[in-house]
Amino acid sequence: MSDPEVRVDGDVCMGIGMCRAVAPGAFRLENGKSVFIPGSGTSDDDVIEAAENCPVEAILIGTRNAG
Amino acid sequence: MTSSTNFLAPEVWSDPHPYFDALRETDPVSWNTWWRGWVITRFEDVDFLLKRSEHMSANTVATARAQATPEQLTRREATFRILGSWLVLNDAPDHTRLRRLTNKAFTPAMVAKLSVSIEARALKLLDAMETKESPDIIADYAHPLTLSVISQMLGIPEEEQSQVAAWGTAITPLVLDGRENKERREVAESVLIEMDEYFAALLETRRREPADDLISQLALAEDQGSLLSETEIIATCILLIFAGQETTTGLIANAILALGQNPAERIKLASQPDLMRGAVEELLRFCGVAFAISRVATGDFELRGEQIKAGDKLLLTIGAANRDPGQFDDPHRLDITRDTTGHLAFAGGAHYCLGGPLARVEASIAIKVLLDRHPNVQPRPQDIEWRGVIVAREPVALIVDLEPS
Repeated sequence: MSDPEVRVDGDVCMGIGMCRAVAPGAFRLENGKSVFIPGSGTSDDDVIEAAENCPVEAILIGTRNAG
Repeated sequence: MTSSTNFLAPEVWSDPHPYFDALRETDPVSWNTWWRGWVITRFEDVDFLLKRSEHMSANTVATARAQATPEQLTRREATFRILGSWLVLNDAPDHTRLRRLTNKAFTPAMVAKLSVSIEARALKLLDAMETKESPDIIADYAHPLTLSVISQMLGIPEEEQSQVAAWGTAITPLVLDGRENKERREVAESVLIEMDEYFAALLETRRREPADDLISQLALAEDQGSLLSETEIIATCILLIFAGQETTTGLIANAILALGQNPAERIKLASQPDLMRGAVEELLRFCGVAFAISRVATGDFELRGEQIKAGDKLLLTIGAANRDPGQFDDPHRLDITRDTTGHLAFAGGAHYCLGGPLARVEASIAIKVLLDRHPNVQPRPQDIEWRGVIVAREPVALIVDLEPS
């Protein structure tokens, strides 16, 4: 099983908030920048949708294998 | 401190940076009695107000409505109704809802798909420009290009595009200018009514026979989930017609002018096309078109010792923020390889330019196509007339020599 690893690139993030609009449980705003909240129970589809909606492509999704 | 300068007057607007540099240095939160609001010029402050302030509203229409006489409300009914539904002039939750519905069409991944057709169009326009005695980057290249792209996205048939182009220009003065004159307002009002009728009819056509365009997508969102009203669909189309042309047209022209004035950078870019991505970001920082945008304060707060009151207008001067030496070294130097991270040409925060990714693609392709064939393209000596609108600082025309002798 693989587990998507999600990170917001703080340099690129412009505090637009599309991620929060699409997946409100999975992203929060901290001092004008978006931060990913792991373990929120948000579906992978919604997290991917959030990443696809970022106008500056600041959300990076990789996968790592567990075990 | 207070000033009374009309910064749109040609003597300032033709080269606004000395004025705004001085303001940024001596009076960074400056009450301007001509504009009737606070002029903000420091990068740190503009960035804060865009992204982190809890007291900023984009809804300048509500304020105008509250201050209008009954006669004005009647005479400018279409303006209030249509602009009142523009996502750019709304706050959460309406802004969020409308942005969600339009955002996907403009993401970097989506607009990348338009690259091939944009390049083909640019090449055709360049072919035609090469036959002209006095080629104008605006009328002969950038404007037809951006017009065709946004029209296609919206679903406007090719034979109707020139009418739509004229409309877009006519309503520009209404947008966040704050000081538009009475005659231009009246013209803009009647143009809005025409555009309202046009898009209502187009919407009806797409409802009956959906096409692969944005107006059909919005119609579906209305039908399927009542996610937005018919007024909002029409208002959104009108906004995109204006926003999809004026600004990117100006960016392309401003870029060619800036590269002409900085030939070492132009030569570098022409000979190293892989520098284009960073070069476009620097051109956005250096000569981005949206020079300033308006906000209204929703509460009292202090900024650098000045007391901002609820209801006060603020002018977030992006063009000055992007030349702040505290943020960018040697800010008045065009350097296509500098680090421009965080520049505010597309603003920041919730209202970050919806069209930003599309503008980047259009500008990159337009500049690349032109420099590929004409690496020495040079603006002819001319008196540049700058459009006197604060959200669109761009030349009215830009005549060039494609092959200077």
